[in-house]
Amino acid sequence: MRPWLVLAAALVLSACASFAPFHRLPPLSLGPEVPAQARVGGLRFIPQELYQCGPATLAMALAKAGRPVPAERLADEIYLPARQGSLQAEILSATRRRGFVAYPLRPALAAVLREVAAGTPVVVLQDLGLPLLPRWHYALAIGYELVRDEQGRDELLLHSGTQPALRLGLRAFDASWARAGRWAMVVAPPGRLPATAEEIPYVEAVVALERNRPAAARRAYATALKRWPANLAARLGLGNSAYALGDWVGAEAAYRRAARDHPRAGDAWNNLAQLLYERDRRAEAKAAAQRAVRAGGPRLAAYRQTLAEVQAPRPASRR
Amino acid sequence: MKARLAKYCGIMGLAVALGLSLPSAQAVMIGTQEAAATQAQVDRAKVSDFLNRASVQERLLAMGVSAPWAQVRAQALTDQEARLLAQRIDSLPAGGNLSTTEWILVGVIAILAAVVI
Repeated sequence: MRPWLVLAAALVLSACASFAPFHRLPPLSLGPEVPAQARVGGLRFIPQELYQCGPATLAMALAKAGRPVPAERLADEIYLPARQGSLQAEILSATRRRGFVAYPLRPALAAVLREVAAGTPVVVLQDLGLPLLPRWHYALAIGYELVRDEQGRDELLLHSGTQPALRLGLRAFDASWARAGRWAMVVAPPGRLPATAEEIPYVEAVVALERNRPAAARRAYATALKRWPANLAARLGLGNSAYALGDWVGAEAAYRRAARDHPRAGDAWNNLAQLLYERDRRAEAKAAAQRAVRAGGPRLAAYRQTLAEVQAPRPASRR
Repeated sequence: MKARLAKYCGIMGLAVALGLSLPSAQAVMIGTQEAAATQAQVDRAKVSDFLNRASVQERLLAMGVSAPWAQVRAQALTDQEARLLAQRIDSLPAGGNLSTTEWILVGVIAILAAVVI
């Protein structure tokens, strides 16, 4: 069976190449810190079951990040029987449910290679089908070799389907990857920024994590703020996740810092007011709510409501 | 006071357990997601988030996911993801892989295509 797969893969890929004869790799803008070859160590290969490349690929990435989960268990969470496959959104959400930041990479080969060089395997989506007959497939990029010669025999190594360390020409891979929208993601522990992390997409990925895993999100916000201390969303998220975890002191500190660094941030003042009100610090709460209303912005109505609430006479009895 | 917050968290917990999302008619905290989104996104999300999630849960169930997992999976999505799946769960890329038969079939088609071209 395996020789058949190799042959078929070669045929498919050569066929695709012939359908797109003018496919050129975009210039690889790898920094000088990226070596000519790399291989992620400490990775155990998990062969996929029929149609279940999603669960197997994610299981390998999670295991590398320190959270081994059986692929069968992940299948419950991301396999969609009627589609005989897994959706990208569910790969991301299952990653978050394990307390990791699911960080989608910039759609460029350089990003994939830089992550691999930093020791992080990359989940990639390929389309191995033919034009008009897509066959989407998840694989894990685990290494590469850049020969940088005239023929461009650069290779990418993938744990793919039933094949450990499958070697694909970088150009052939890029063709299959481009047809799947050049989608790639890494499983990032909340305490460590991905090698290619950028401010806005990283904070967005953490906001998504906060919904179900506030404790992990709180650590990831702190990680983001170490690199980008002026990011308002991360600072507010640090407060909100602390609040969700019942840490009033931590939440208050984060809101105050957000309000100090961003005096026009009504959201920070509003949430600070609400927190102080709940801690029965009425005078401070009122001052903060007034700052929120003065700051204005699209959520002014909510700030006004907060101000009205903190100014209202104390109810006679409160449980 | 603490009791008030506990009550609010209790309601939120109940809502999550029931697979509902509490509409934020009672403005308390500005959520990070809300703060980070544009106003248009927030308005749209408020109107349809609940419906999207319910719809995704229903579709997952119809597509062969067990009832408890359908609920867990619908809840695990962000608002944007829930909106995307509610609209396009039938057509979004679903990474599976080819069975051996399909591989051979694709291979044969590739050979034919190569011959024809």
